[in-house]
Amino acid sequence: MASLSPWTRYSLCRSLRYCRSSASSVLFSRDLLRNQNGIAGSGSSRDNCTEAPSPSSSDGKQKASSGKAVTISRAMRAYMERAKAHDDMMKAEVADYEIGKRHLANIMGEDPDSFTQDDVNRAIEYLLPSGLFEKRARPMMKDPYEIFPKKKAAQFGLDGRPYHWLYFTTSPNYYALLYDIAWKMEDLKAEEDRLAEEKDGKPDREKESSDFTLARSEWITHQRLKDLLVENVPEKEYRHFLVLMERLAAHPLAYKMEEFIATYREPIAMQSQTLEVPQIEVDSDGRSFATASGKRKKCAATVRVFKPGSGKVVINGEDLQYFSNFVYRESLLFPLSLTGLVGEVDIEAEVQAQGGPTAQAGAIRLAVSRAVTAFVDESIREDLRLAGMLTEDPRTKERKKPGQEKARKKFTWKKR
Amino acid sequence: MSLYSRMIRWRACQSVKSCCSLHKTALSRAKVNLEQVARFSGSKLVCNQQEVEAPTPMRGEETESVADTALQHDDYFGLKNLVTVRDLFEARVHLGHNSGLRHESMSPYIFGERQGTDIIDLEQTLPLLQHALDVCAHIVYRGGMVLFLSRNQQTLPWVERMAQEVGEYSHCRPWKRGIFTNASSIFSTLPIYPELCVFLGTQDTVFEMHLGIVESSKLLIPSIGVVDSNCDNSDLTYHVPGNDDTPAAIHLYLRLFREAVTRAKAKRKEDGLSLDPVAYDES
Amino acid sequence: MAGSRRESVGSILTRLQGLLRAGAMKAEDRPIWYDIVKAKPPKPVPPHREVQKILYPEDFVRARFYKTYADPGATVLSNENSKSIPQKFVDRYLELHGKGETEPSRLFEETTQSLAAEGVRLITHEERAAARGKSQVTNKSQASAVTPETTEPGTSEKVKVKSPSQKVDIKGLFDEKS
Repeated sequence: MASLSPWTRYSLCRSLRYCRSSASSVLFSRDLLRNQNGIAGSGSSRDNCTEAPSPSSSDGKQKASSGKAVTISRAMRAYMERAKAHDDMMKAEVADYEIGKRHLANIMGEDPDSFTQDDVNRAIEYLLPSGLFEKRARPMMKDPYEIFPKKKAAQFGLDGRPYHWLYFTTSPNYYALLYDIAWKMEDLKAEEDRLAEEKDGKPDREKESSDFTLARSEWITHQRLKDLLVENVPEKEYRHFLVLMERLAAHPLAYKMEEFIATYREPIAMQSQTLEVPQIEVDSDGRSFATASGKRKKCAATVRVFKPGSGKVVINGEDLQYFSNFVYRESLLFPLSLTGLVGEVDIEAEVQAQGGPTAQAGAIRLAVSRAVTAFVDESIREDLRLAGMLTEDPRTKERKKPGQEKARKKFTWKKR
Repeated sequence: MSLYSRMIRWRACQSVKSCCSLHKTALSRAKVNLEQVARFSGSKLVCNQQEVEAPTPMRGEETESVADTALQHDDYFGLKNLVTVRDLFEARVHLGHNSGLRHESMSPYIFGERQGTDIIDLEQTLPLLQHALDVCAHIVYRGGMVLFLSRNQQTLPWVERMAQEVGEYSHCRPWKRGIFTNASSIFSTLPIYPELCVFLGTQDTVFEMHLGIVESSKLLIPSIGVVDSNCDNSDLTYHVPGNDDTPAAIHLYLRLFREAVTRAKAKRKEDGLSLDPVAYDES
Repeated sequence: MAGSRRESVGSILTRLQGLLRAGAMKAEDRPIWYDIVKAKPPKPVPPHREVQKILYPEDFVRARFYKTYADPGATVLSNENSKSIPQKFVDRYLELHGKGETEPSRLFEETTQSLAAEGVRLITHEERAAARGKSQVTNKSQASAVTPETTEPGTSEKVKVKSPSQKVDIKGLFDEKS
């Protein structure tokens, strides 16, 4: 990487122009590099962006191919002018960004053609080191499309008529969703009335409804709803949506709307399904084994569990008498008794000698539990999880506080 | 005996003086009634006689001959035969609120008070409703946007569906302040306003008037409103006295407005007024 | 839209006309509704008037009925063919009135007798009060039994009363000879 003299770096910093976009990110402007390298900064491209293109139909009338005049609404004309101005501005920004990137590559003494965004980031970090904590506040140079917020497309046609029939509510997508829910509810009510009249519909109904359940899924989150509707949905409105959906789902015939309801549900993953089960390996003697590690307080343990075994336990080369206290021996063998593997497996554990026996025994127990999951089936694995054998204990020693004797204990103090 | 036939009979009683020798206790009151009815029916004749001013072409304006001819027609869309007083009565349009809740501006449209409830005069409602439908149809005929508003939760889905099906707009949700008066910042475009607001009920909550009425009035947007006996009709351009709570009544209004808009759109197509907008040419 | 936002000043039509007259809005920019509202302006509001109470001749009959007789009990609303006792009374009263009797108190008596002939026994307030006093000693349920009609809607078909229509001559219906 090319090194710069202090003066060059200083002048580079001075000519830097920070543009704060509305997305509160900082744009490393292309003007910098243009000035730095003596390129004539005529600013002609900039002038082009701000200058509004003269409306081609100033009288608002256009001749259609049929020869009849059609009025383009004033709102649409204004929108199109603004959209064109924005496009021009973006085009100029992109062109400047490309030039700036090449200059940056030249400064860094690299090949301008193969200079990627990662290289740009690296160069900026090197040339303009910043001590600011907030990453977004540091100098940056990015593709203008990432920096400038995207503009919303026009919500109305050339004749000035909005596309959406709930346009005037300001949240057409959200209210259209509520409208859908309301009509689904009305449909269900009508269906219920119809079924009540003809009583034969009952057995059919029970059969179908049997596999409709909400237990395996939950309502989509507030953020997800916002993304789905591409609208800002206030918290209150989100709760209103939930109330309506709950009401719809609680209807006895809700299974008929399963497809609709499912679009606003997200499946809940079972925790035992997300567990990582260690691979079963085979050693030189042909015995299969699984390796796992566990932690408790500051102590870490690695355990190998051999499947056809005789119940032999080796901890750091010693047997179970490594722990003098029975409580610890029992605790590390508990996963085996829970799964019914006592006397059927061998355990080989390596544990760091730091920390007390509780930490060591706990770490071994967690590692054993994890390793054992490789040899048992799904239901026993779930039993292990429910017994808390597969959960790491996050508690650690609390730090000592200054002005206190220990973490919580205070110095003895007497008023006089 | 239905209330409807009673109403007709009551009218008959009132107009023929000789028939009205009532019970002693009611006699004096009946005399007052008669005088007032006579006075009222006279004044009503006067209002019915009002002249409709022919549209005068404005200076510097090329007259849009087709639309103007349609405007001079008394009932261009044939909306007068859509509804009768009987239909209104059967849809419970005559039922007002408790007399204690009566709004002063509505008293000319109230037929009388029956056991503490105001009864709206359907013979006044009918022409006003037909007039409003005609105006609505003419605005649609010229390509105007119509916004249907209502705050009645019970009939909300029907109002929205009607608006969607006829290709117009609807707003039956809580009114955010400034949708009209501050439109450019709320929608972040040049403001777009409907050409007509139709309020199927003028109350927002039980105690408040719909904010859209004042906003449309401020922004020079004409409004049509169904006003119940407890509502203020002063800010509406066209008011239709009638029940705004009963689903049957609201469904009747919806049916009528749907018909008016549909007919106007059909006529618009027939008369060659609707054009597909051409693509905007960038050059 | 340009124009005064004081909605209390004039109507939308007068305010827009003001804009056009002053040149703040060009004639070709006028909104779609302008020609329509100008050609079909809102109808003038009729003059203010007192709201009258709506009363029918039968109201007075019914009022007198309730003043004289005790509440005849519950009515079966599900059967639309059965009429309540006060309604039967009113219908019979108007029917008899159509036959020529005009003196109200006599007409009232005649109606009572006519209904009694059909098995509808009406209890006056005094009788009811007396029966109450007795029932406190003996049985409560005896006093409340009024007529067979209230419990049996089927029997009411026997008492077929022609409903009075507009044809009923109500002349002198409530005149008391004084």
